[in-house]
Amino acid sequence: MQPKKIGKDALAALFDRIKDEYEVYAPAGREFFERVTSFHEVELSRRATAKNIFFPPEQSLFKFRRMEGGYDIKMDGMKRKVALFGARACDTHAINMMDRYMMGDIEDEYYANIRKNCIIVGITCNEPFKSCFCTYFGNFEPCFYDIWLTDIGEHYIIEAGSRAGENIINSIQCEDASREDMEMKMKVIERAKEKMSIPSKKFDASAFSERYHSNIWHEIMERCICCGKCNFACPTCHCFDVFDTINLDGSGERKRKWDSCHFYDYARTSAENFRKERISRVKYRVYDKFVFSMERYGMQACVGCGRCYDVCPAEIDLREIIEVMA
Amino acid sequence: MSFIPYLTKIEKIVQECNDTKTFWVEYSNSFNPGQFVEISVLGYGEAPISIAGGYENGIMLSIRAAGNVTKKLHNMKEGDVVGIRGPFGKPWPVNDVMGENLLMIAGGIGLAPLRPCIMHAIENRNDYGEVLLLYGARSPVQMLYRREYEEWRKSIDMDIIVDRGDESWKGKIGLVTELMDEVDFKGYAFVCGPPVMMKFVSMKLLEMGFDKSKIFLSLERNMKCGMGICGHCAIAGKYVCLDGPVFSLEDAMTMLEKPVELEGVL
Repeated sequence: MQPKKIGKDALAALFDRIKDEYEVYAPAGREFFERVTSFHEVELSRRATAKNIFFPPEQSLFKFRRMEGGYDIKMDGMKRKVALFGARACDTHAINMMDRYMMGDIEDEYYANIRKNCIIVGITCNEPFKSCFCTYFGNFEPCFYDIWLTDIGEHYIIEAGSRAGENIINSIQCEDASREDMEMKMKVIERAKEKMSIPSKKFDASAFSERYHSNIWHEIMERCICCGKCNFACPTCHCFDVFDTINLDGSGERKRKWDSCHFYDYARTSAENFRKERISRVKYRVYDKFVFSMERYGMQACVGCGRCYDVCPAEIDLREIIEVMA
Repeated sequence: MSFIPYLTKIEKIVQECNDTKTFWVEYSNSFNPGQFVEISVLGYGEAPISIAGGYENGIMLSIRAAGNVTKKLHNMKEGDVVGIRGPFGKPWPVNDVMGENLLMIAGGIGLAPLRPCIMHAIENRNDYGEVLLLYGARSPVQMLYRREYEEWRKSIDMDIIVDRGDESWKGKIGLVTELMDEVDFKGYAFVCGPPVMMKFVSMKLLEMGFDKSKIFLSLERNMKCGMGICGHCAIAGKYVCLDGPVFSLEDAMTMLEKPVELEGVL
């Protein structure tokens, strides 16, 4: 489908069209995507993490109820049609990584139920945030989308990346984008890319491996307080804890909730705490983003979004670590 | 694969030693020696437990009362309902060892994951060369499966040592590595026990001339999901629930984040 353009005031119509068919989630004032029902709630200039839509901070795995001779177990039927409205390119790369974690050889059905029925309506970043460094990993362009918007001044360029996206675009009022419009889009992209502050050295995972025992870790470890905020803000951190809750009548629920590899108890068993030292937990997270994920999934788990730096009370910046390590 | 456990009954419970009970649980999924299951007590949670053996109706699980779920299990009785998921993980490479000598070294409750391997060696005794089991326990009352030793000894060699004896104990006192000093053995070694025991046993095996690729360790981690998703059992880029719990010393030693069990092993 040829790229189209729509007037800025037509975006509300696009939103309404999508809302008719999907539950819409968008950046709307917080650090995470939220349910929105009106276009006025959407803050397109804000970026937010979307992983909570597929992988909620706390989620029921199943409910159980005592019965004669045992239990009755019920899993929530949760297939839902969901739209992310206002995702950024880094979000698409993060979702690509999450798909590998959650829908690889073994499928996490809770994640898949939402992910497989989800459309992504994204927007090009005209103005990078101060923590952004996606271009460093070549992640400025989205890796997949259903509809992609680029602000070129008076209009948005609107492009379809799937059949579902095409159908939506065909159902709203828009015109073909001209050659000048597309040139403007390229200009917007080039300008944004130039503004990004990225590490000066080329990324080299093997250099990371070689410096595993380097002293640099001691300096970083001194600053990290293992609060876990980076894990929660990170669009590819996917660790969870599993626990039960129980009611007075013996019924209850098995749930999972986000966990952090920075927490003291994370690798503890009845015999031993396998990452007792803070330094081992700090290292684990960084290596899991840059090295281990590459070995196992053929892809870096860090997409260069910088959200971990935004929330870090110790102002630990992965770019700083890359600068020293790579 | 799913988070929904298969609900089943505890058929039999035996007090194994002061803090450990063995549960016979009805379960029809077949397993290989060294694999583990997740056992659930609904309302309390789930815990990863190695399979200690099979019987016609199911599996045996030897469980130490250590945490929330396992303490609750110790208060349950025959006929009570539990949930099982699994089996999970890579087993002991019993087929690779065929025709070779096999040394099994267990510390404490680490005998449980090795028990199916012992049974396998006994049932297929002619497939193996020398088979020797060295077992170290903290004290005579903390030894697992004492009622079975006599039967085992008809097919395989076994030696036992305890950290602390008691009035009735006439056997050896010391560490399991001291038993290793007494033997001259070449072939494969399967090891399971507390982290510090695995460290010193690995060092001793290398000293004895065992090949790194012929030493296998069963590592214990906090396997929450068993499916390589929750992250808790990761060591470097490996998931103990999928890639382990049995690793060759060679593979374990080359992990960037060296397993705690091997700290100091060169």
